[in-house]
Amino acid sequence: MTDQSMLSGNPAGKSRWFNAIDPISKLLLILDMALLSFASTNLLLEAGLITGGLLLLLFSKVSSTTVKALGFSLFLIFTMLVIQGLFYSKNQTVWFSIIGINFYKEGLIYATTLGSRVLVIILASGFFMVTTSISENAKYLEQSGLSYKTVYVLMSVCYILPEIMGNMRKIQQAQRVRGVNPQKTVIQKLKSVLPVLIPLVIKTLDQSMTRSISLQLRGFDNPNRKALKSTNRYRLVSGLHIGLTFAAIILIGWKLWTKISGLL
Amino acid sequence: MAKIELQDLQFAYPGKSFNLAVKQQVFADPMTAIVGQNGAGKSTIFKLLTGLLQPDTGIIKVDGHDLADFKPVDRLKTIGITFQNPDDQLFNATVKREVEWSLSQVNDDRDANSQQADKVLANVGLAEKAAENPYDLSLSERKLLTIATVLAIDPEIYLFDEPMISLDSPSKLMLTQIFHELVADGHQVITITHDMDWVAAEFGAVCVMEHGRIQFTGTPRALFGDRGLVERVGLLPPKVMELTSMLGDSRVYLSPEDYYKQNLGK
Repeated sequence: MTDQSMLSGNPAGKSRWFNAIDPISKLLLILDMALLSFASTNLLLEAGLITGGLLLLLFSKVSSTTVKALGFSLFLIFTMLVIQGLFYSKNQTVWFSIIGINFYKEGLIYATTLGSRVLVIILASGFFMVTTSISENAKYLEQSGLSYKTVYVLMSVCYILPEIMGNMRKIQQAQRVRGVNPQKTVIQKLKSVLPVLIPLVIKTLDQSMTRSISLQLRGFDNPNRKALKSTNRYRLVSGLHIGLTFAAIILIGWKLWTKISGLL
Repeated sequence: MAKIELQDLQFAYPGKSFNLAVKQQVFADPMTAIVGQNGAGKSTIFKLLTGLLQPDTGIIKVDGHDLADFKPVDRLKTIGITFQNPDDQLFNATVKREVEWSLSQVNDDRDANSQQADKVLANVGLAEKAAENPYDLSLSERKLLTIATVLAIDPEIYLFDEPMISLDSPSKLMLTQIFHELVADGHQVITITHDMDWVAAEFGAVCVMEHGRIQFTGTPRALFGDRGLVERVGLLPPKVMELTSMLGDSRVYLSPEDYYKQNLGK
């Protein structure tokens, strides 16, 4: 899956269960899952949250980008387990040994807790990213009262960045066949950046100019422009917002209370 | 003339359903056009030939030597390519410097490079614009400039990806003339194009691609004589054939001159 398609999310026309959840509720869900994970040190709860995140992804859509992000974070977590298992400052109890090297229980539990939190955040964010398209976000923000110009500026970042990345790949290929190859020294590397950077900047500016002109011609600045009418497909919006916000406040309060009570 | 040979070539883009599979293909004609609908695999073949993509299996040979064994400089001297969009390749401050930069990738002699750049720019009609910034040129001129950067190196094989797009009529005639001169000098020209009139009138061989497979290789006359194939792969016959078939003549005509020769020139 490309960056663009990842950001574009689910295809239009197909209505699935996650399409009934509005983008703000999905963002609040990420917040709640992350807060719950950070508020607890219980590994069973962390396992439950990871399972929940995985199920959310499996029942919605698994993208190759999410799988890559998970693969990379699992590699980091493994590194963290090894380092903390060996060198965590509170290590006391030897849990097991591999070829004479002792791994400590305290460090491994600490690293597992941290790693679980990372996984929970990645899984929850992955759910949001693969189930919410840019146009859905834009429509929702506009319907929520934000000016369409502000929404365009916010959302154009999501469209333009993948476009720039795509342009860069094309330009890199076009320059490679002219003889620009990966260089070894810093000066050589800097020299090989120019052939990519100059066309990229010019192309991006040119595309921005074209986009701006075409938007003007399509009446972007029209003072009579009205916001899109709501398709009203989201369910339980108020209930979800109130419930998830309340849960977030409770979790923040709980975390603060445990910190304060620890100091007293 | 150098000869490109593809053997048991397979390539798939990660995460995409498209896959290219070529059992055996030899590009033997000095002027070959690769045609087919968008997504047929034409540009993928070009990227494999220039080393931008590596085949999953199979070998690409140039004059019997595995292309994978070529050093970057040797590859530049053997195969030159221009892409569709000239703006992806231009970055120097002047038109002449752009051509000299390409030359400097294969030759360190600045004086010789300067002379060669002047000569090539004159060939493509850009001699008077040598001191201008490439981005001040028209799109047609920028396209000719990217072609000049390849002509300057004088590789054995030229690959052109849609060279006629965005060229005005005089530039199209000039480029066709340059192609014939290259062929006369013993070079090979392989071109991706959708312009069937041009293919029919100027090329010695056509290679038709569909869904990552080569469906046909032969002369334009043989291709346009097989109306079933032409229709199936979504190609349009040359305009002269469209007209003559409306008039009830089912013979193959590659150009108005060909029509004249077959009917009136006897």
